[in-house]
Amino acid sequence: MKRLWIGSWIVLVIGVAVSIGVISSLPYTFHGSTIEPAFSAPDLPLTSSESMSFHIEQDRNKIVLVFFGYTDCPDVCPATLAQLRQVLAKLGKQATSVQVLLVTVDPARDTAEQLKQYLKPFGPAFIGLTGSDDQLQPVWNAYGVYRENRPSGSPDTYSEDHSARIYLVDPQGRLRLTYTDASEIDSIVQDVQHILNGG
Amino acid sequence: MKRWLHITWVRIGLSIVVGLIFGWLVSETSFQLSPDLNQLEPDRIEVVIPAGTSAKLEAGQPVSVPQSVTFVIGDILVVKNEDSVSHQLGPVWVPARSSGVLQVGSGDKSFTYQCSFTASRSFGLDIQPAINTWVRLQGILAIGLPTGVILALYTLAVPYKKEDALD
Repeated sequence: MKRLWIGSWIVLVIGVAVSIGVISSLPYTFHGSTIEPAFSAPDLPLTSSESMSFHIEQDRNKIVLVFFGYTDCPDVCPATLAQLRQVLAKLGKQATSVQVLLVTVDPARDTAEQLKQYLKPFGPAFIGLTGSDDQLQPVWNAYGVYRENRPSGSPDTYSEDHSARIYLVDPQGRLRLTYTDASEIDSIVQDVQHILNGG
Repeated sequence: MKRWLHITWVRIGLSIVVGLIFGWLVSETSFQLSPDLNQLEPDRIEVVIPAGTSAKLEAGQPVSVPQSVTFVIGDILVVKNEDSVSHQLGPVWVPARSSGVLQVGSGDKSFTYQCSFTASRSFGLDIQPAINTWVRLQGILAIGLPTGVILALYTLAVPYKKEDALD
């Protein structure tokens, strides 16, 4: 009887070990939509919220999360930026390897100074990018950004309908993943961690 | 251990094993007899956006792209974009001449998604639960365990041999 018990325990331990081995050897599945093959992220030759000229290569060796929005946005933009702030908070120390870019879809109102003031509460990892229509249009096209002006009663209170997608550029400068604004924070965190760990 | 107690444990154990075998037979037979269920294994499903789709849509011409696809949770959706402009299908954005890949997760729902490459500007994703090993195991357990318990109770009603009972 004692042998039977010992044998059962050995079989159980081996079974658990094999199960753990099988599960840990499974390939990682990204939560975001993967771009295959990954390619060099289109450049963002714009002016930063620090009033400096910007190029995407500046953030090589970092993960860059790019979002297109505007500072007068009443809903999607502040919600998405708050979501990205939570992503950075959950990343802890690894957050220093992540840069968030808000590229404006409303250059008429979003000056570098306006973006700077708007992004201040989100922390130094958040940078705004703006430019002229001529500078921004090729960027919007390259990232497939939908944008439509919605006039209202007065010329200053118009709104912009726009796509709300988050683009992930990996440390090698490749456009790897995209997320919708409805993506879960933990899903983005896990994907970022996987890439930062060499995935 | 007293012999009658040992025999009781053996009866219970054998009853559970017989119940599980019975459950496996019933469950697997029903899966085999239901071709629809058997087809719902995770798979890699490709939607191709042909070259010139965007131009055709702008010209009001028909495009040869499906309007909806049925998925199983765990399936991998591959949207292959052969067009010269980027396209989107709900959560998947695909740059020109590239592919967007998304694993359909348990959080995804059947829905008509906004889509840039159909005339209706919508695309239906019908998402079904996966009939995976765990579901099959649940089927076996759901039938096998109650059957085993009933058999075990029945065997307890069978009297022991006199010498075993006195041991």
